[in-house]
Amino acid sequence: MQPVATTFFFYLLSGAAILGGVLVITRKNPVHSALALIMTLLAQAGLYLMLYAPFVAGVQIILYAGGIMVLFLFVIMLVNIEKVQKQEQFNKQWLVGIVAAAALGVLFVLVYMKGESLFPKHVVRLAEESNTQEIAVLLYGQYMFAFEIASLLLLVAIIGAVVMAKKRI
Amino acid sequence: MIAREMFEEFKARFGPLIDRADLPSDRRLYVFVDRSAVKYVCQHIFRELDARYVITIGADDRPFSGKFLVAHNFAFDKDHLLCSVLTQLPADDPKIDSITEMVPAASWAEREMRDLVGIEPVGHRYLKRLVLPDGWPENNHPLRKDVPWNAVPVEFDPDREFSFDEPPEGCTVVPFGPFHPTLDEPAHFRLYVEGEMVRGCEYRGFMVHRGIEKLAESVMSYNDIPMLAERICGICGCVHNVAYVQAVEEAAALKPPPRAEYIRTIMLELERLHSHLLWTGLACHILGFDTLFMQSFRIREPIMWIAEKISGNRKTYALCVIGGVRWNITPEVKTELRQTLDKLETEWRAVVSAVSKDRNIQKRTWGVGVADKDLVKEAGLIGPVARAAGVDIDCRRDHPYAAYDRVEFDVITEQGGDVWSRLLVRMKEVFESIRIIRQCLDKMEVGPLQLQISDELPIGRMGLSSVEAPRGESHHFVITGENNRPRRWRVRAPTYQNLQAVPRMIKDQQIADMTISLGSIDPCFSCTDRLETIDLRSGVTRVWSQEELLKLTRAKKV
Amino acid sequence: MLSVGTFVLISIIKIVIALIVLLTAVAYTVWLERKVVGHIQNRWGPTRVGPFGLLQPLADGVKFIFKEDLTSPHVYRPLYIAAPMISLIFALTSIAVIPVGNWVTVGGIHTPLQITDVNMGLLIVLGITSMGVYGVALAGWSSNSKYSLLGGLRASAQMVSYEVSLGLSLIGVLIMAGSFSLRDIVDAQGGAYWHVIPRWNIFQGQIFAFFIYLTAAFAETNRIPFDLPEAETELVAGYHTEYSAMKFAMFFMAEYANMITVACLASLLFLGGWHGPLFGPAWLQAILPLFWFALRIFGFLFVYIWVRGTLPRFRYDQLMAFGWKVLLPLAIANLMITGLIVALKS
Repeated sequence: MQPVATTFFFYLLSGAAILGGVLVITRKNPVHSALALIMTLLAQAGLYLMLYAPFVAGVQIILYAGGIMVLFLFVIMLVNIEKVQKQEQFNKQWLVGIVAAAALGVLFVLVYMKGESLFPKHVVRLAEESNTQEIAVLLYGQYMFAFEIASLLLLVAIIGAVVMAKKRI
Repeated sequence: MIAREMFEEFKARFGPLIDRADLPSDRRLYVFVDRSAVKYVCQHIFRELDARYVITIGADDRPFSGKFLVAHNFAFDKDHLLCSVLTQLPADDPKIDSITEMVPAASWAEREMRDLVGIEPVGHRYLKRLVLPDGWPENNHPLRKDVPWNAVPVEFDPDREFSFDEPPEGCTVVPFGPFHPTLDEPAHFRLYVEGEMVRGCEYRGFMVHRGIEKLAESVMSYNDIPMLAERICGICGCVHNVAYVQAVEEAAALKPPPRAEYIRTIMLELERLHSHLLWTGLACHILGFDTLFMQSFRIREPIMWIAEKISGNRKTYALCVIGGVRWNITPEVKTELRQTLDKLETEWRAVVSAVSKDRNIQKRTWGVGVADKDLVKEAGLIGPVARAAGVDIDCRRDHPYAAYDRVEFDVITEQGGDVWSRLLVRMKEVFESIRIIRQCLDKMEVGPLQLQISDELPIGRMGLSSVEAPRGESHHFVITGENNRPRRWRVRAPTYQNLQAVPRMIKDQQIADMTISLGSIDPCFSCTDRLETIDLRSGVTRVWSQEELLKLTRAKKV
Repeated sequence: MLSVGTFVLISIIKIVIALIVLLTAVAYTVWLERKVVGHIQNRWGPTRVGPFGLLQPLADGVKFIFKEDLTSPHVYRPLYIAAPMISLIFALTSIAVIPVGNWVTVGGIHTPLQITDVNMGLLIVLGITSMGVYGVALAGWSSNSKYSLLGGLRASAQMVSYEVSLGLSLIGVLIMAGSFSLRDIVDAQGGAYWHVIPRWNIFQGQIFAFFIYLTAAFAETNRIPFDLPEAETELVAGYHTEYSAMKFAMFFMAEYANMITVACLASLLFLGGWHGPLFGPAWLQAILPLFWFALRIFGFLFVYIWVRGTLPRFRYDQLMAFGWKVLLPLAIANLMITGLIVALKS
């Protein structure tokens, strides 16, 4: 069956992702921010699906939306929300903000202008069936070294967190 | 040491500070001491002589002697001696040195004395109200004789809320009760919680205080009170019934006929049986193990039936009057009781062998809610809680009453001091109770059930009675009086002492262990608060017979 | 190839049937539980409504609808209302990718007995169930009560922890089947060794994985002995302390729907799905697979209930320690051994 209304779903999901992103920043209540972030992550998963990457989409939901964000929420639930809501939300660092935004804008424009040459001309279409295998081959073959470095970094972060959180080990 | 030797010892040590003594028997000692010496005498008794603290009683004796009376009761369990240290206080200055510093177990009793009788324990560090609500007027002490029993002071503000202590730094307050699925009766624990760990708690109970002591002293008669006494508790009512009657009998120097004593013993042990089975079920329910909860109740049910056969009631037997009992155990009931016991023993053996090997229950109860020997001594813990910590005390053996001096039984002890040990103690005590009842049935002699009492009971005499309730020692103190009723009657239910140690037992434990730790002392807030429970069945249009009820419950559909 | 219109129509029909069957199953799982636990505990269970109390779920449903829906003034309303919906929606959605039988041809239309057949079926089920935790966590937080919050925290920590073991225990099966598609996994389990022992994954060395899955599934669905989020003797009712009437019923239905989902997964992944002896006339042969599948689910649910009647509740720290220190290493070991064997074979 041919894909239906692809354009419509693309804009719907992108719109949801962007809206979620904006809400994360602007909401005062951290629980709302977390929920908005979940919305963004789910929309992203939808975008992955549209790119014929169901494995990445599934992992995105299971790990980010179903795992990590729960822990975020977990921490936020223990925070005294009333106190947080009275605090200053933005820290008035206008200069740094403008510079960062400008840099990002320039980057967007550059990508848009030179997009043709940055990305491969024709869309590489991975077979949907062997999607998982392809990812595995890439991760454990070509990008083995980067993958291991990433996992080492995570391990260091975990140990660091344990050391910082625990008074006595 | 018998009472006389003990008194000689006191005299040698404190000399002129001891006013006089009353030694009605070798096993009782009432010693009147000077107000200034109370503290030191109590310290001596509690620390050097290693006695167990029982209770402190305040009494308004002004209409009779013009003075207030304070009694600190101690038990010398190894010497089979109950000792009461009495002091008279002048009417215009009801103050006495607090003994809580030396005897921590006295904390509640002194606070209660301050609330109800208005005797100030000087030097008590935590003089918060215990019994009276915060809205009660400051100068109104209900147990004083000049306060009417049925009048609420006009200044009373029923809407005033409790004032609580500040929780420690970094702790969250989790309220536990007065309404909570695990609590069968209202009581409030304010838990100070850090994460899931309990760091401390404040207890606010006495929400069902009905003032039955006042009622007894004001309007009821000697033979009314046993029926009131057993309504103190829905589970161990017979204990209070017997304990009160024995205290009065002791004060009046009456000895009930032997058959009555055997019947009292049998009923007390039947009560222990059903109480321990009930507790095992409830403990399992707290641990989330409802199957054994239901099975315990099934095994327990025949005991209720046999109690109904004997007394006409499943509970609240209305057993005793002064000088005897009201119900006989007929030969037919005797046979049936034996059969019930045989069945119970087999079934309970199966339960015990299953539970004592269950790894999951062990995991939940080992090292949980520990009360060690020190805590038992300091907080005056009693009953299965003390025995589970290896403290070998049991009133049935140490202060024998009824027919317990004529039967053989073992006092079960364990060493762990945790919930698991309490579980084992209670489960094994069931077999001892069965043994006691069987011996009683064998030895029971034919004879009258009651004494014929024609004279009025003597006035102004004191009586002590300790009865081993399923939950521990239940202690009654009576001063006989005019108008065919006692002047002062004080009930110390076992939970009163055991509950005071709960904050220590649950400290630095998980919230999840809180409920089973509390449950493991078999708390009875009504006993502690001295409540009268009345079950009013309104709107019942027909009387169901037991067979009909059984049919009803077992029918698949009606 | 079907036209879009037929596809939508067929899908809607399948969704309606699946929902009706699932909700009925939920109702009767409750009935079954009350009945079985009742008999274990020396009681009768429901007896009054209908024969054997069979209409009890109906009576319960009516009761839930007519009960007063209390909302405490101190709750955070939007999330308080959304939380039970989130729970129920995610619990019901996962049925969409679960196949209940082979392809059938009805009226010239060839279609699978499944709402939608996707290659990533298992991944989607896991993803959806992992989202279900939000219902519980948000219910705990928005109720603004300490018991609810503790229940919500416990639930989210427990579900996140056990999800790891649950997922890892499934990977062994995935390696053996070489696919994420639930249909492929079931197809790989057809046939029997020497015509006696069926080629179910549980008989192909995945027996440890099955028990790891079973344990983790108990924790995932908050059932005794792991029902700490709603341990009534500690936390009153945990995260749904403040809920009543239909809102509570939604949590209740979600719990049982989740039970059925994990039972379906267990049957598909470990117990050979709908495979079983086929005999008799054609119509019987068509129905038998459905029956075998339902029988497995029933067996799994029965074990669920049986365990509830047998075990006391764990303590929270014991639960977490068990999940991370026992179950997870076991799951990893199982995964490594399975991988090794599969690698050596090929």
